[in-house]
Amino acid sequence: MASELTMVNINNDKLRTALDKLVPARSPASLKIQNLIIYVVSLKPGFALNSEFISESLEISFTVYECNNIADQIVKAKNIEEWAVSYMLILFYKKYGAVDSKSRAWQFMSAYLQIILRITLQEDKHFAKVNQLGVRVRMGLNAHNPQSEILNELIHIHTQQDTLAGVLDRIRQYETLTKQSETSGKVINKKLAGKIGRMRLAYEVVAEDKEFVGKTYSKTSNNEAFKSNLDKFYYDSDDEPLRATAFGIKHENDNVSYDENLADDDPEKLLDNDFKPSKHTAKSSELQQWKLKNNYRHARRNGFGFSTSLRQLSLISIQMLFDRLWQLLMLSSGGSRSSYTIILISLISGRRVQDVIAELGLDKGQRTWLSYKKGINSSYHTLNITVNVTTNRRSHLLIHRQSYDNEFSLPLPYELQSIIERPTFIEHTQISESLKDLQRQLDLPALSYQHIESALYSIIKNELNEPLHADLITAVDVKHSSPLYYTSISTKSLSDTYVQAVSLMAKMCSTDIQKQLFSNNLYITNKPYIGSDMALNRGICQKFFEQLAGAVESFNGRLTRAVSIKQDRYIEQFNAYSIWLWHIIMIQTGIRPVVHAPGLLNQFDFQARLFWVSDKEERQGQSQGRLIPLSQFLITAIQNYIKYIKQFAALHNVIYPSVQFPIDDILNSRQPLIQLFSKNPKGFSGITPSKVRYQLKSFFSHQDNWLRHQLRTLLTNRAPEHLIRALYGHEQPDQEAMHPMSSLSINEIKSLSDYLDEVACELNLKQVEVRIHG
Amino acid sequence: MKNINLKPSQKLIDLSKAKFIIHPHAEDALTLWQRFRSRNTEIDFFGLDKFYRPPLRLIAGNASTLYFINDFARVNNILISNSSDKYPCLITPESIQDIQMLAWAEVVKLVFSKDIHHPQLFKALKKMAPKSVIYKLMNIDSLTIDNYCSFADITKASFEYQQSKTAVEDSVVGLPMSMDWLVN
Repeated sequence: MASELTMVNINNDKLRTALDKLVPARSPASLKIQNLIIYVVSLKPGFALNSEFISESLEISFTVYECNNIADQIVKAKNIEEWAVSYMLILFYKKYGAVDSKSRAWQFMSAYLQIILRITLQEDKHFAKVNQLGVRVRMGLNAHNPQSEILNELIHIHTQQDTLAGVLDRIRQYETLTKQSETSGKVINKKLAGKIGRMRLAYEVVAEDKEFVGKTYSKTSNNEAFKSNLDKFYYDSDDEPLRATAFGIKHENDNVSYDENLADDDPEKLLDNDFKPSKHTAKSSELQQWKLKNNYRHARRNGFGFSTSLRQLSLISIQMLFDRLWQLLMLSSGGSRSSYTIILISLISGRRVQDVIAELGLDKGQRTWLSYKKGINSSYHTLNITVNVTTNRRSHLLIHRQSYDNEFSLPLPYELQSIIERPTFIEHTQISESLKDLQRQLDLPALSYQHIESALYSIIKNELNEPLHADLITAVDVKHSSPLYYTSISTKSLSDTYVQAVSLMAKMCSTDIQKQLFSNNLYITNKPYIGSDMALNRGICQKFFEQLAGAVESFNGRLTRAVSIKQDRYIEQFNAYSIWLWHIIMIQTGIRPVVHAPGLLNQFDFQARLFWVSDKEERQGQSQGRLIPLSQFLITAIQNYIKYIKQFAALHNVIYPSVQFPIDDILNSRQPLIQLFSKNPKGFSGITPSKVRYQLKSFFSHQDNWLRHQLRTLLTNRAPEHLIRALYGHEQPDQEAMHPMSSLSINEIKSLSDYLDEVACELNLKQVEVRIHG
Repeated sequence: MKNINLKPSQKLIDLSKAKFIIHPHAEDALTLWQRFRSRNTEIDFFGLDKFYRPPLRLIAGNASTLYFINDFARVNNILISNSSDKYPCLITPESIQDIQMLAWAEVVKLVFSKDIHHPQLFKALKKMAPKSVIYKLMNIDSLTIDNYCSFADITKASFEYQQSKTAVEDSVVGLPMSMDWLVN
């Protein structure tokens, strides 16, 4: 039975119809490719098709020129999907050369094509998988693509296994292994498991004759609901809900994702009237407005988290509360025990009490952030935190990222594990009762949900002085804390901070309890780094700058003028130097890659070692910009560059009277400091991110602001967090370093320049040496 | 016709006060000369020539305009130094043919400078120089590589070597054109 299923006899007519479907007559070189398929299939007879009825076929060969030509035609006709098999085969041929029965690659392709033909012969909805199969192999042909690993493994599997069942079995094993290693966090997540899964599915369809199961997408999927609300902000206020809408600006000159820009620009939010006004204010729109504004200001004040704020507990109160809760938890049972559990979890996770109630009401498999993990000997719950950063889809960069993923887990005390095993249902009133009781017992002036929720955050921020860790650990959404977009951070520092914070909370418990808190803890394997998908690892970063500097210096001793300005190597060197300096400025200042960044020469003060920049889209009343300390390395780099452009201009301007280099305008700050020569239109103009992208061409491609991510990552856990925020312009409203009420001294900001020099040192940055005279 | 003085005259002139520019018929030659001249291998006579000053050959134009047509290196130095010294000048009317000969002779002389890039200069002469002038100056009947090499007194092999060296260098200079560096 099984063998009947896995083998299908096929006659010439059937084969022809299938081939016509795969390689339509309209597609380039259709006959030749159809014959190639027949020939390749005959290499490994009887894998999935009995091809005895197929007439003898002749060997087909293509020249490289033909291959390129056909591939070009397919791309130009925009039929990559419809003619997926032709496209895949022609690229495969280009890489592995003429069909050879001894070639392992072609042996694999023979089996693969049989699978594709079988799916086509079924004439059902599974046909869509053919395109998938084509894509997977095509991607794997490029050595830089992580998917090349899949292709190599597939070829390997096909040489070892002769039968379809054997191959399928091995693919399944490969898929499970990949999935395991991706979730374990021991390797960088290259997102391969899903892709292998799609191939496995195609093999399953043929081997096990699977029915087609379609997916139906409902319009109100979670994702979409989330998306449409990205620009909505809810503020924490006393009585009425406070909602604001941020209107993002279109960034036409960079390729940074919309959400990231929105969070980073931090545009003025417009408060809207999404609340039911009280009777008193309902009649008057002016009163409404006034109340709304007042509430908003109030909410911003709360953002400071001063220890005098009445909305949060003092450290002592938190410690007393924790101790009492722990004692009660051990003594009580039933409903009160559940309510103490909920309060305690809210206290040590910083989540809203409502969220904790909802989460505990679910079955453990359905919970989202109280995640249930199955270990080898035991299973346990952890706090699971996902940082919703911009995903990096550039496949050539995936393996070079510093972050392995964007989620991490934190331990929960051992005693809580068994209590939260089952779903718990509880009423709000019961929790309020417990809170009232606790307030009376501890003699606290006030104890509300808000006091509980803010405890962990205020301890980490005020006592441990780690505002970034506080945002991460209490799972603040990225859109409320733009630093999270930029940081790739070590998970060890996070779990250390967390354990420290909870230990501080438990200071008043008996030493036994303190010791036990995390000692029985199950080993949590976190990925070493999580967060921003854009920051790359140090090695690749060093290499990148080495290559840029190498490009500038490669012209030394090879400078020649040419008849045409387009081949003048003096100008090519000038461009290479400008590109290098632009990247150096980005990694040493962290400014946004806006048009004409870093601006004019007079924005730099080399004596005071400060740089004034306004890199946000200007809005009314907030175009002040900010001051950035200059590192010694950067000062030298810019001064060398200025010396260079003076020499360059002296030589250039006499030779090309029609294409002048505007040296006077640059030195007198009338034109941007960094310029690039472009061939069309011919001439010099200020640098822009898109021009940089064009200059780098096939050398490198990444999100324009990746060095901003990189610098943030390198500074995090090295320099004081409030200074990094000042450098990036990421302070909360009214908490800006240069705010009139700010108590920060300018010298403290200047101390950043030492950290910036450390970064330069860590990345092995070297000044470039340019010899313009011979 | 009245203001054109056909009589040559010699004068001491402060060039920083006059409008002192290249003659329109010598402009192409000057552009090429600037592009290909050697920059640091010549002996600096400029300082020594402070008291010995051979006259500059100039042409007078309208409204105190003075055109220079040859001796580019010296003119260049004078223009850079921007001093108010007076220079002896020989102001003569010249025919267009002579202007071109004098100007292009400067470019052709570059053939003999030490670090000249011969293939580029050859290409430039072929593309931009007036043929008849060049033929006369180099004493040839057509500008071919062979003729060029024998005029410059170099072997054709060394000409071709320079040519191929540039082509090889093209793949070395600048940024790599692929992402291979990411993997290796």
